[in-house]
Amino acid sequence: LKTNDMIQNLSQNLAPVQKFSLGFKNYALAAAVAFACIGAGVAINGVRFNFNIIALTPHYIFECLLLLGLAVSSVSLAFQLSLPGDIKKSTWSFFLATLLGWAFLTVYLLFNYNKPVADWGFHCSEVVFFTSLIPAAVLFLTVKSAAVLNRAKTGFVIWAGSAALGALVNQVICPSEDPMHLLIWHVLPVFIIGFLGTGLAKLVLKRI
Amino acid sequence: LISSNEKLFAQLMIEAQKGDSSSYETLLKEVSLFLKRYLRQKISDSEQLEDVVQETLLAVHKSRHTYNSDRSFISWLLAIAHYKVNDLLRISYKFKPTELDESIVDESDSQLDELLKKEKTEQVMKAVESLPAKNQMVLKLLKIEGLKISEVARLCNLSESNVKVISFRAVQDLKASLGGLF
Repeated sequence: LKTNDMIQNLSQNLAPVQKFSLGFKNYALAAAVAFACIGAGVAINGVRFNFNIIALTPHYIFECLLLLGLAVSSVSLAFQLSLPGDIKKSTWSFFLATLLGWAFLTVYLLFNYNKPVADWGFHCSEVVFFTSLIPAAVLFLTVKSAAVLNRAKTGFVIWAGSAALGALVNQVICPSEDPMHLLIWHVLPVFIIGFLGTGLAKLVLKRI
Repeated sequence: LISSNEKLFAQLMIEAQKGDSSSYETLLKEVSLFLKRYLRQKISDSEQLEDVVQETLLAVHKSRHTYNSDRSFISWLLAIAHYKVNDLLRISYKFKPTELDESIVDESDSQLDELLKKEKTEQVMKAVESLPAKNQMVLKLLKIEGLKISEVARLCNLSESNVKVISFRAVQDLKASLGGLF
Protein backbone atom coordinates (compact mmCIF):
# COMPACT_ATOMS: atom_id res chain seq x y z
CA LEU A 1 0.00 0.00 0.00
CA LYS A 2 1.44 3.37 -1.00
CA THR A 3 1.47 6.11 1.63
CA ASN A 4 -0.67 8.36 -0.56
CA ASP A 5 -3.31 5.64 -0.99
CA MET A 6 -3.32 5.11 2.74
CA ILE A 7 -3.77 8.82 3.34
CA GLN A 8 -6.75 8.83 0.99
CA ASN A 9 -8.28 5.85 2.79
CA LEU A 10 -7.80 7.46 6.18
CA SER A 11 -9.22 10.81 5.18
CA GLN A 12 -12.27 9.44 3.37
CA ASN A 13 -15.52 9.77 5.35
CA LEU A 14 -13.67 11.35 8.25
CA ALA A 15 -15.89 11.63 11.30
CA PRO A 16 -15.53 14.43 13.84
CA VAL A 17 -13.91 13.33 17.08
CA GLN A 18 -14.58 14.37 20.62
CA LYS A 19 -11.40 15.83 22.04
CA PHE A 20 -9.89 13.93 24.92
CA SER A 21 -8.32 15.87 27.71
CA LEU A 22 -7.39 15.23 31.29
CA GLY A 23 -8.11 17.98 33.71
CA PHE A 24 -9.27 18.93 37.17
CA LYS A 25 -12.25 16.54 36.99
CA ASN A 26 -9.95 13.53 36.51
CA TYR A 27 -7.55 14.59 39.28
CA ALA A 28 -10.51 15.18 41.61
CA LEU A 29 -11.91 11.74 40.85
CA ALA A 30 -8.51 10.11 41.47
CA ALA A 31 -8.16 12.00 44.78
CA ALA A 32 -11.68 11.07 45.89
CA VAL A 33 -11.14 7.39 45.10
CA ALA A 34 -7.76 7.44 46.87
CA PHE A 35 -9.18 8.99 50.04
CA ALA A 36 -12.15 6.60 50.00
CA CYS A 37 -9.86 3.58 49.69
CA ILE A 38 -7.50 4.77 52.41
CA GLY A 39 -10.50 5.47 54.65
CA ALA A 40 -12.00 2.05 53.94
CA GLY A 41 -8.66 0.32 54.58
CA VAL A 42 -8.22 2.03 57.93
CA ALA A 43 -11.87 1.50 58.91
CA ILE A 44 -11.72 -2.23 58.13
CA ASN A 45 -8.40 -2.92 59.85
CA GLY A 46 -8.42 -0.40 62.69
CA VAL A 47 -5.77 2.09 63.75
CA ARG A 48 -2.54 0.65 65.20
CA PHE A 49 -2.32 0.71 68.99
CA ASN A 50 0.90 2.77 69.01
CA PHE A 51 -0.31 5.35 66.46
CA ASN A 52 -0.29 8.27 68.93
CA ILE A 53 3.38 7.70 69.75
CA ILE A 54 4.70 6.88 66.32
CA ALA A 55 2.72 9.52 64.40
CA LEU A 56 4.91 12.28 65.82
CA THR A 57 8.27 10.76 64.92
CA PRO A 58 10.13 12.44 62.04
CA HIS A 59 10.84 9.26 60.09
CA TYR A 60 7.18 8.24 60.22
CA ILE A 61 6.02 11.63 58.96
CA PHE A 62 8.71 11.59 56.27
CA GLU A 63 7.67 8.09 55.18
CA CYS A 64 4.01 9.13 54.95
CA LEU A 65 4.95 12.21 52.91
CA LEU A 66 7.00 10.06 50.54
CA LEU A 67 4.08 7.69 50.01
CA LEU A 68 1.65 10.55 49.49
CA GLY A 69 4.09 12.13 47.04
CA LEU A 70 4.44 8.80 45.24
CA ALA A 71 0.68 8.45 44.88
CA VAL A 72 0.19 12.03 43.67
CA SER A 73 3.10 11.94 41.23
CA SER A 74 1.94 8.60 39.83
CA VAL A 75 -1.44 10.10 38.89
CA SER A 76 0.20 13.10 37.26
CA LEU A 77 2.74 10.93 35.45
CA ALA A 78 0.14 8.39 34.30
CA PHE A 79 -1.95 11.20 32.83
CA GLN A 80 1.07 12.64 31.05
CA LEU A 81 2.10 9.24 29.73
CA SER A 82 -1.37 8.66 28.35
CA LEU A 83 -1.09 11.55 25.90
CA PRO A 84 1.62 11.76 23.23
CA GLY A 85 3.97 14.67 23.77
CA ASP A 86 6.70 15.89 26.01
CA ILE A 87 6.67 14.56 29.54
CA LYS A 88 7.91 16.90 32.23
CA LYS A 89 11.20 15.58 33.56
CA SER A 90 10.27 16.90 36.98
CA THR A 91 7.28 14.54 37.16
CA TRP A 92 9.44 11.52 36.38
CA SER A 93 12.09 12.71 38.83
CA PHE A 94 9.54 13.24 41.59
CA PHE A 95 7.96 9.82 41.02
CA LEU A 96 11.31 8.02 41.06
CA ALA A 97 12.64 10.07 43.96
CA THR A 98 9.64 9.23 46.14
CA LEU A 99 9.59 5.54 45.16
CA LEU A 100 13.31 4.99 45.56
CA GLY A 101 13.55 7.39 48.50
CA TRP A 102 11.02 5.32 50.40
CA ALA A 103 12.85 2.07 49.57
CA PHE A 104 16.24 3.54 50.54
CA LEU A 105 14.84 4.96 53.76
CA THR A 106 13.65 1.50 54.75
CA VAL A 107 16.99 -0.04 53.80
CA TYR A 108 18.75 2.68 55.80
CA LEU A 109 16.68 1.75 58.86
CA LEU A 110 17.95 -1.80 58.44
CA PHE A 111 21.43 -0.70 59.54
CA ASN A 112 20.13 -0.50 63.08
CA TYR A 113 18.35 -3.79 62.71
CA ASN A 114 19.46 -6.69 64.86
CA LYS A 115 16.47 -9.00 65.00
CA PRO A 116 17.09 -12.44 63.48
CA VAL A 117 13.59 -12.86 61.97
CA ALA A 118 11.26 -10.25 60.58
CA ASP A 119 7.73 -9.91 61.94
CA TRP A 120 5.30 -11.94 59.85
CA GLY A 121 3.12 -9.65 57.78
CA PHE A 122 1.32 -11.31 54.90
CA HIS A 123 -1.76 -9.32 55.84
CA CYS A 124 0.17 -6.08 55.18
CA SER A 125 0.85 -7.24 51.60
CA GLU A 126 -2.82 -8.11 51.22
CA VAL A 127 -3.71 -4.59 52.36
CA VAL A 128 -1.29 -3.11 49.81
CA PHE A 129 -2.78 -5.26 47.04
CA PHE A 130 -6.46 -4.86 47.83
CA THR A 131 -6.24 -1.14 48.50
CA SER A 132 -4.56 -0.65 45.16
CA LEU A 133 -7.24 -2.42 43.11
CA ILE A 134 -9.92 0.26 42.82
CA PRO A 135 -7.58 3.27 42.35
CA ALA A 136 -5.63 1.33 39.72
CA ALA A 137 -8.84 0.30 37.94
CA VAL A 138 -10.04 3.92 37.91
CA LEU A 139 -6.73 5.14 36.48
CA PHE A 140 -6.58 2.37 33.88
CA LEU A 141 -10.14 3.19 32.78
CA THR A 142 -9.29 6.88 32.62
CA VAL A 143 -6.25 6.45 30.39
CA LYS A 144 -7.78 3.62 28.35
CA SER A 145 -9.55 6.02 26.03
CA ALA A 146 -6.43 8.18 25.63
CA ALA A 147 -3.44 7.21 23.48
CA VAL A 148 -0.87 5.50 25.65
CA LEU A 149 2.41 5.07 23.81
CA ASN A 150 4.44 3.29 26.46
CA ARG A 151 2.03 0.85 28.03
CA ALA A 152 4.57 -0.89 30.26
CA LYS A 153 5.77 2.32 31.94
CA THR A 154 2.22 3.57 32.30
CA GLY A 155 1.11 0.30 33.86
CA PHE A 156 3.98 0.36 36.34
CA VAL A 157 3.33 3.95 37.32
CA ILE A 158 -0.41 3.39 37.76
CA TRP A 159 -0.24 0.27 39.84
CA ALA A 160 2.84 1.17 41.89
CA GLY A 161 1.25 4.53 42.69
CA SER A 162 -2.01 2.85 43.66
CA ALA A 163 -0.12 0.33 45.79
CA ALA A 164 1.50 3.28 47.59
CA LEU A 165 -1.98 4.06 48.91
CA GLY A 166 -2.06 0.57 50.42
CA ALA A 167 1.34 1.20 51.97
CA LEU A 168 -0.06 4.43 53.38
CA VAL A 169 -2.91 2.45 54.95
CA ASN A 170 -0.30 0.14 56.45
CA GLN A 171 1.38 3.17 58.00
CA VAL A 172 -1.82 3.71 60.01
CA ILE A 173 -2.83 0.13 60.76
CA CYS A 174 0.36 -1.92 61.03
CA PRO A 175 1.98 -1.70 64.49
CA SER A 176 5.33 -3.11 63.39
CA GLU A 177 8.35 -0.83 63.21
CA ASP A 178 10.66 -3.68 62.29
CA PRO A 179 12.57 -2.44 59.18
CA MET A 180 12.88 -5.95 57.76
CA HIS A 181 9.12 -6.35 58.07
CA LEU A 182 8.62 -2.99 56.38
CA LEU A 183 10.97 -3.94 53.56
CA ILE A 184 9.48 -7.38 52.89
CA TRP A 185 5.79 -6.77 53.52
CA HIS A 186 5.33 -3.06 52.73
CA VAL A 187 7.97 -1.95 50.23
CA LEU A 188 8.52 -5.09 48.17
CA PRO A 189 4.81 -5.61 47.36
CA VAL A 190 4.63 -2.10 45.91
CA PHE A 191 7.44 -2.92 43.49
CA ILE A 192 6.00 -6.35 42.66
CA ILE A 193 2.53 -4.89 42.08
CA GLY A 194 4.12 -2.18 39.92
CA PHE A 195 5.73 -4.85 37.75
CA LEU A 196 2.43 -6.70 37.55
CA GLY A 197 1.03 -3.42 36.27
CA THR A 198 3.39 -3.51 33.29
CA GLY A 199 1.88 -6.81 32.21
CA LEU A 200 -1.68 -5.78 32.92
CA ALA A 201 -1.27 -2.59 30.92
CA LYS A 202 -0.34 -4.60 27.85
CA LEU A 203 -3.60 -6.50 28.20
CA VAL A 204 -5.85 -3.60 29.11
CA LEU A 205 -4.50 -0.68 27.10
CA LYS A 206 -4.71 -0.83 23.36
CA ARG A 207 -1.65 -0.31 21.23
CA ILE A 208 -1.75 2.72 19.01
CA LEU B 1 11.67 22.95 9.74
CA ILE B 2 9.79 22.51 12.99
CA SER B 3 8.59 26.02 13.79
CA SER B 4 7.47 26.74 10.22
CA ASN B 5 5.18 23.72 10.23
CA GLU B 6 3.78 24.02 13.74
CA LYS B 7 1.03 26.54 13.00
CA LEU B 8 -0.03 24.93 9.75
CA PHE B 9 -0.22 21.43 11.23
CA ALA B 10 -2.06 22.61 14.33
CA GLN B 11 -4.63 24.49 12.27
CA LEU B 12 -5.19 21.54 9.92
CA MET B 13 -5.54 19.14 12.85
CA ILE B 14 -8.13 21.34 14.54
CA GLU B 15 -10.16 21.30 11.31
CA ALA B 16 -9.65 17.54 10.99
CA GLN B 17 -10.93 16.97 14.51
CA LYS B 18 -14.14 18.69 13.39
CA GLY B 19 -14.41 16.17 10.55
CA ASP B 20 -12.97 18.17 7.63
CA SER B 21 -11.66 15.48 5.26
CA SER B 22 -9.72 17.76 2.92
CA SER B 23 -7.84 19.43 5.80
CA TYR B 24 -7.05 16.01 7.14
CA GLU B 25 -5.79 14.77 3.79
CA THR B 26 -3.58 17.85 3.46
CA LEU B 27 -2.36 17.40 7.02
CA LEU B 28 -1.42 13.75 6.52
CA LYS B 29 0.37 14.53 3.25
CA GLU B 30 2.32 17.37 4.85
CA VAL B 31 3.06 15.28 7.91
CA SER B 32 4.31 12.36 5.83
CA LEU B 33 6.72 14.67 3.97
CA PHE B 34 7.82 16.23 7.24
CA LEU B 35 8.38 12.81 8.81
CA LYS B 36 10.33 11.54 5.83
CA ARG B 37 12.66 14.53 6.03
CA TYR B 38 12.95 14.30 9.80
CA LEU B 39 13.40 10.53 10.06
CA ARG B 40 15.81 10.15 7.16
CA GLN B 41 18.63 10.98 9.60
CA LYS B 42 17.63 8.04 11.78
CA ILE B 43 16.55 5.47 9.21
CA SER B 44 18.63 5.01 6.09
CA ASP B 45 16.63 2.14 4.59
CA SER B 46 13.90 3.68 2.42
CA GLU B 47 11.52 0.75 2.87
CA GLN B 48 11.79 0.91 6.64
CA LEU B 49 11.37 4.66 6.51
CA GLU B 50 8.16 4.24 4.52
CA ASP B 51 6.95 1.64 7.05
CA VAL B 52 7.60 3.95 9.99
CA VAL B 53 5.90 6.88 8.26
CA GLN B 54 2.84 4.73 7.51
CA GLU B 55 2.74 3.34 11.04
CA THR B 56 3.02 6.86 12.43
CA LEU B 57 0.21 8.10 10.20
CA LEU B 58 -2.00 5.25 11.36
CA ALA B 59 -1.20 6.06 14.99
CA VAL B 60 -1.91 9.74 14.35
CA HIS B 61 -5.27 8.70 12.92
CA LYS B 62 -6.10 6.50 15.90
CA SER B 63 -5.07 9.08 18.47
CA ARG B 64 -6.17 12.28 16.76
CA HIS B 65 -8.74 12.85 19.52
CA THR B 66 -5.90 13.33 22.01
CA TYR B 67 -4.34 16.32 20.26
CA ASN B 68 -4.95 19.44 22.28
CA SER B 69 -4.37 22.80 20.63
CA ASP B 70 -2.88 24.14 23.88
CA ARG B 71 0.10 21.88 23.33
CA SER B 72 2.61 21.67 20.51
CA PHE B 73 1.48 19.59 17.55
CA ILE B 74 5.06 18.76 16.57
CA SER B 75 5.85 17.43 20.06
CA TRP B 76 2.68 15.36 19.90
CA LEU B 77 3.59 14.04 16.45
CA LEU B 78 7.24 13.38 17.20
CA ALA B 79 6.40 11.50 20.39
CA ILE B 80 4.35 9.12 18.27
CA ALA B 81 7.02 8.95 15.56
CA HIS B 82 9.83 8.25 18.04
CA TYR B 83 7.75 5.52 19.59
CA LYS B 84 7.19 3.97 16.18
CA VAL B 85 10.91 4.20 15.33
CA ASN B 86 11.78 2.46 18.60
CA ASP B 87 9.12 -0.11 17.88
CA LEU B 88 10.61 -0.77 14.46
CA LEU B 89 14.11 -1.05 15.90
CA ARG B 90 12.85 -3.45 18.56
CA ILE B 91 11.02 -5.58 16.02
CA SER B 92 13.85 -5.58 13.51
CA TYR B 93 16.30 -6.49 16.27
CA LYS B 94 14.13 -9.46 17.21
CA PHE B 95 13.31 -10.12 13.59
CA LYS B 96 16.82 -9.84 12.17
CA PRO B 97 17.82 -12.64 9.81
CA THR B 98 18.51 -15.56 12.07
CA GLU B 99 21.37 -17.97 12.00
CA LEU B 100 18.72 -20.43 10.92
CA ASP B 101 18.10 -18.53 7.66
CA GLU B 102 21.79 -18.09 7.03
CA SER B 103 22.49 -21.76 7.53
CA ILE B 104 19.81 -22.73 5.01
CA VAL B 105 21.37 -20.66 2.27
CA ASP B 106 24.91 -21.41 3.30
CA GLU B 107 26.65 -22.88 0.30
CA SER B 108 29.13 -25.60 0.70
CA ASP B 109 31.00 -27.73 -1.76
CA SER B 110 31.29 -30.83 0.29
CA GLN B 111 28.74 -33.58 -0.15
CA LEU B 112 28.31 -33.97 3.57
CA ASP B 113 27.46 -30.32 3.90
CA GLU B 114 24.98 -30.69 1.07
CA LEU B 115 23.32 -33.61 2.81
CA LEU B 116 23.22 -31.81 6.12
CA LYS B 117 21.82 -28.75 4.44
CA LYS B 118 19.14 -30.79 2.74
CA GLU B 119 18.24 -32.49 5.97
CA LYS B 120 18.07 -29.20 7.82
CA THR B 121 15.94 -27.67 5.10
CA GLU B 122 13.54 -30.58 5.30
CA GLN B 123 13.29 -30.20 9.05
CA VAL B 124 12.74 -26.48 8.74
CA MET B 125 10.03 -27.00 6.14
CA LYS B 126 8.43 -29.64 8.33
CA ALA B 127 8.46 -27.21 11.25
CA VAL B 128 6.98 -24.51 9.04
CA GLU B 129 4.19 -26.90 7.98
CA SER B 130 3.35 -27.49 11.64
CA LEU B 131 2.62 -23.80 12.20
CA PRO B 132 -0.99 -22.54 12.12
CA ALA B 133 -2.15 -21.85 8.56
CA LYS B 134 -2.14 -18.05 8.90
CA ASN B 135 1.35 -17.93 10.45
CA GLN B 136 2.59 -20.33 7.79
CA MET B 137 1.27 -18.19 4.97
CA VAL B 138 2.69 -14.95 6.40
CA LEU B 139 6.08 -16.53 7.01
CA LYS B 140 6.25 -18.09 3.54
CA LEU B 141 5.26 -14.87 1.82
CA LEU B 142 7.75 -12.83 3.82
CA LYS B 143 10.71 -15.15 4.10
CA ILE B 144 10.43 -17.43 1.08
CA GLU B 145 8.66 -15.28 -1.48
CA GLY B 146 10.48 -12.21 -0.17
CA LEU B 147 7.43 -9.93 -0.29
CA LYS B 148 7.30 -6.64 1.61
CA ILE B 149 5.36 -6.39 4.85
CA SER B 150 2.87 -4.04 3.21
CA GLU B 151 2.29 -6.49 0.35
CA VAL B 152 1.77 -9.41 2.72
CA ALA B 153 -0.64 -7.30 4.74
CA ARG B 154 -2.67 -6.54 1.61
CA LEU B 155 -2.65 -10.15 0.39
CA CYS B 156 -3.64 -11.61 3.75
CA ASN B 157 -6.06 -8.83 4.57
CA LEU B 158 -4.18 -8.00 7.76
CA SER B 159 -2.74 -4.81 9.20
CA GLU B 160 1.00 -4.35 8.80
CA SER B 161 1.57 -4.45 12.52
CA ASN B 162 -0.38 -7.70 12.62
CA VAL B 163 1.86 -9.14 9.92
CA LYS B 164 4.94 -8.15 11.94
CA VAL B 165 3.55 -9.71 15.07
CA ILE B 166 2.49 -12.92 13.31
CA SER B 167 5.83 -13.31 11.55
CA PHE B 168 7.73 -12.58 14.76
CA ARG B 169 5.69 -15.23 16.59
CA ALA B 170 6.12 -17.70 13.75
CA VAL B 171 9.91 -17.26 13.86
CA GLN B 172 9.85 -17.67 17.63
CA ASP B 173 7.81 -20.88 17.28
CA LEU B 174 10.22 -22.14 14.66
CA LYS B 175 13.19 -21.35 16.87
CA ALA B 176 11.53 -23.20 19.71
CA SER B 177 10.75 -26.29 17.66
CA LEU B 178 14.15 -26.31 15.95
CA GLY B 179 16.09 -25.35 19.05
CA GLY B 180 18.09 -28.55 19.12
CA LEU B 181 18.95 -28.38 15.44
CA PHE B 182 20.42 -24.86 15.27
